[in-house]
Amino acid sequence: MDKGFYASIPTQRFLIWLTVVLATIFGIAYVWLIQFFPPPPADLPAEQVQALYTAHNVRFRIGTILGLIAGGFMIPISIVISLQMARLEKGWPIWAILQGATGVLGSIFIWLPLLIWAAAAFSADRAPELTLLMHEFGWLAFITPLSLFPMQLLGIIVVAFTKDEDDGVSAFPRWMGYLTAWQLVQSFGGPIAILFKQGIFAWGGLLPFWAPFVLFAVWMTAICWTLLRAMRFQQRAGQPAGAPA
Amino acid sequence: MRDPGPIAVETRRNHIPGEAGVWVLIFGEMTVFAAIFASFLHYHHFDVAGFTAAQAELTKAIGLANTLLLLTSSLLVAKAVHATRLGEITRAPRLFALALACALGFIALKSFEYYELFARGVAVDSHMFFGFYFGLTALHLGHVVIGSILLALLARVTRNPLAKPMHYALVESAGCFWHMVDLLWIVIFPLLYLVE
Amino acid sequence: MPAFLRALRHDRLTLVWLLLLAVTLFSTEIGGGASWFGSPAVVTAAVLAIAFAKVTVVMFTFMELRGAPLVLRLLAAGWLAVVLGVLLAAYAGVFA
Repeated sequence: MDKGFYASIPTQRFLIWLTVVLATIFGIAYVWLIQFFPPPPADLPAEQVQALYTAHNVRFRIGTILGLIAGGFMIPISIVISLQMARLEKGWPIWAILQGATGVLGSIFIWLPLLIWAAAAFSADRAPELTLLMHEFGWLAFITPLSLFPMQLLGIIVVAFTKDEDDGVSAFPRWMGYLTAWQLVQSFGGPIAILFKQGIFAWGGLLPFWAPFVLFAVWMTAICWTLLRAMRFQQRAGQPAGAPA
Repeated sequence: MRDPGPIAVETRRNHIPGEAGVWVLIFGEMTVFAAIFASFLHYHHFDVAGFTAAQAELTKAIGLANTLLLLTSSLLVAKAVHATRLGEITRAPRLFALALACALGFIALKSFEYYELFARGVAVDSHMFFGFYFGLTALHLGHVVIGSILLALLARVTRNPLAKPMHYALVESAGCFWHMVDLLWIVIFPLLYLVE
Repeated sequence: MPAFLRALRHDRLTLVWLLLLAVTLFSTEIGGGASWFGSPAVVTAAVLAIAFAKVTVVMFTFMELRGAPLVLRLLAAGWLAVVLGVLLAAYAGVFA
């Protein structure tokens, strides 16, 4: 980007906090209202799955409503990440654009499963097999779509590895590059859940759910921290040139 | 510690190979895999007969060949990293390219193994053993593919002298990632093919 | 002595590789079904121990952990020991 690159810091900060607030609401909805945490076993018979939706049907549906409202939480932070990446790229910020595009698109798979589950809960008197189908559809939509996330992360990794020092100016120090690279490698565990109904490779297992989930939580915390730190520096320095070192 | 650039390895002491970040990645990944290994052995304990019968369907020779391929690729990568540090811009890319060839050989052989098993009617859900076999090896294969891309990148990048001192650390880190791929297979091979 | 053998004596990496190859062949020979080496438990323990020994060798030579700070070396060795222990325990059914 040009040496006179300027992007409003208060706005970027607002977007990050928007992400945090929405993610919290989503988390509350998912954990306490929908109660799919930990995930129900992938080999649950249809009648028991039906019970998941009918037992506290209204509470469940309220959970999906909140989740659908707050489910876009990855979008604001993806935009901020793109802006911070663009500061560091020469010329047109190709990687920032890729990150932004895939980040925004990938955010769909956070709220889409809730929509599917809401439809399953919508009529409590269905045949259990139909509920099972929607239930499975929602879970696979939640866990297995892979194609976008690695591309989003790739851009961040490239930018992170072009910086020499962690001087607080860049939101992507090299350790963030390694953390993101780990996240990328981990994400390949997701699609494998399509082949397994139980055990460590199923949708509630270590590979497709727990490892990526924990790593994602760590990564989100880390990137919020580096983004805010970079913006503090940029603000103090009076928004200097965005050209890379 | 900042890598000083092209320097023979014998003179460097107390230096983290690559960077601390890559070791977090490596041990993190290996820990996740270790959990899968433990899970496999746990279930093996309760169905030794079933697991052993299923294991008999595998061809030890293919697994062995794959192990040899990865061990060789690791040797080549180690030598290539040394060559890069010494500024050998013809030798280093060649070694990385050879390592890549080994990696591609691994992928081809594994694909053949899968095909051969499917042809014999073995499926992912034929037995819990095969759930683990396909899950583990497919996951590992994903790592091999990522590593292969890194090797191709390295073969390209080392054709010219590296511009910044930091780049040597990155080359080492990428090399370490490849070694991790080898390490994982070193355990996966006996776990699936040799454990009784 | 032919020149390449003389050169080999100083090529630590290739020597290590040859050792790993030999150990792998041995391990393959004693493992996987009706083994002459001993009971299944003995074979498994041997095969896994050999695997972890190989991992240690690769880490300390190929990955150059030999020249790394003591903390990293201790962490690596400790991690390897713990994981091997956990795996053998799982094999023995300790986590029932």
